[in-house]
Amino acid sequence: MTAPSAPPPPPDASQRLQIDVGPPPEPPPPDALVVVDRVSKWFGDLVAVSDVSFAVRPGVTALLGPNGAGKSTMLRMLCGLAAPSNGSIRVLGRDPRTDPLVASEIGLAPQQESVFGSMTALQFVSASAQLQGVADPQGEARRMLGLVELDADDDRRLPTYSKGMRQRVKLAQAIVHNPRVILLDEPLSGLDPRQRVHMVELFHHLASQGRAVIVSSHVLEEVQRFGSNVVVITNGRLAAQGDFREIRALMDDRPRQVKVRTDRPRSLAAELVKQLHVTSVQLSGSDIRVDTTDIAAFSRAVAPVSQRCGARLFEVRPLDEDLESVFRYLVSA
Amino acid sequence: MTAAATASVPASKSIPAFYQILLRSQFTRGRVIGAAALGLIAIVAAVLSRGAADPIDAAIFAVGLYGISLMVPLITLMLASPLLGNLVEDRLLVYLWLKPTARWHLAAAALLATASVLIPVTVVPLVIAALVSGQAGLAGPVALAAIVGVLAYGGFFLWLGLRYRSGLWLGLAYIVVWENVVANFGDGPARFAIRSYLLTIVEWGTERSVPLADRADAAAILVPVLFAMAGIALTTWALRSRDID
Repeated sequence: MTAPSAPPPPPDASQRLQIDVGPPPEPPPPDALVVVDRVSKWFGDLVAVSDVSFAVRPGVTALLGPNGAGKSTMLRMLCGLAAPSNGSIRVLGRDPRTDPLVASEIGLAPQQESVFGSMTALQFVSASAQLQGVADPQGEARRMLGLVELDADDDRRLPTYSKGMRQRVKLAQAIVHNPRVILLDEPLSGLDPRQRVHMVELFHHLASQGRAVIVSSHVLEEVQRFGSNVVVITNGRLAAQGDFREIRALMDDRPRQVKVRTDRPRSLAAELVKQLHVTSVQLSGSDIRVDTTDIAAFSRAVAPVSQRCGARLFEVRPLDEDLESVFRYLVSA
Repeated sequence: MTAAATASVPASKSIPAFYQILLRSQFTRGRVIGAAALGLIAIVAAVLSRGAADPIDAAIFAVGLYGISLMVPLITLMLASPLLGNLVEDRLLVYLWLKPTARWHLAAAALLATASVLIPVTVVPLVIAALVSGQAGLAGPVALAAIVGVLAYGGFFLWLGLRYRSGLWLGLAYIVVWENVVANFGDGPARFAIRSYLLTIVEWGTERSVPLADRADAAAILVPVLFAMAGIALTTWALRSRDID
């Protein structure tokens, strides 16, 4: 029998805080350029971002979320334009809100279309370069405008530019100082299809040089072209982060949809529905749409089952592994 | 791409760049012409003062009480308060804020841009008014008072326009209520009215007594300059503390 121990001393303030906020988050990856740690932002009673943590490594990362989810607020906080109400943000280990020096490592192309009305593209981009301390502001501005396929010698004022041209000017000013973290808010809106392809190539090129390119977009088709790494925010909270295919694989509670095309859809559908892991089948012409709770078991079973009923398989394809499906599931969850 | 600066951009590079952007983008011809029209009133009043029963008092009224007490603060308010405030409204401040520079660089450049437009717009009509009124001795002091006034009011109104959406109206209320009403109630409130320092400078150009011109000579210059510096400090603080859209 052990002697009764003395009551433990009351926890000090820091211990109480740790208890209140739960277990500490996982440490960020060592190569993370941006670290968001338990960040919240509220405006009066409105909570725009709530307890969000994630890290961004070099590469293209898509920041996704429905309208009003908190994406733009998060982007503004990432570059220091808005202060988090709680939590901390580090860009290259520094606080972008209080340390203006880190601005030399951040490039931002904001969503708003407004531009300085009296400036040409070259004046705007070279002024930005000058304020970033670039050695040859005008030369570098010319080069960046060329990179986004704009004529540096165009002497028209910015308000006369089309929306797509302004987008490209904003991108040029965002990268003119060679930043390591590039934040782009809806960068493809207003661009024609050829320009979109060019811009996506440019984003990948910038990312391949070790930069973090964070792209906010609501057009999922475009985002899928950026790459597979996503940060999904819904209702101000982090819904998921990582490769969207891996995120989908982790969604065990969601049945997977598979399309099967065959020459004997009715017989095959009748056999498939008998499988324990198949929850429903739908016939549509020669296609069968199967909902299964175990994609691996289904993959193993579909060939023998079709062989048993004499059906030839033309196609077996998962239907909901694309980004849009993952996004839909996350948002509706 | 060339390597970016890893240190803060020095004031010698950033202030001229901010200055050029602000000058180019914010002072539209319409605004400047509108402000200059107020200067014409001073000239007309000075011409009329020549026919007054006491032309010296009338001239002091035209260049001092109208020109320095109303025209200079009103024109400064019209052009200084929207300078940074409009950048916020138009969501353009982000392009100037997200730069590796000390925040005071932008505040100082804004005051310089304000002063470089406003000094000619206020000094020229007031000097002409002093000359046509027949009181040439007022010309130098009134020019100095206008320059000092533009700096003092400019710093304050830059901050007001950046900090408050209704900065223009708050500034107007300040000019009318504090500077032109409350300041007349005694020496205490007058010490906190910029115009009492400016009118002290105006008094240097005449033998007559100018209302509210009760400040020491050194204070007449020093205090408005301190107002201007306080304006830059407040603007810097607002740039540091406010969220930028």
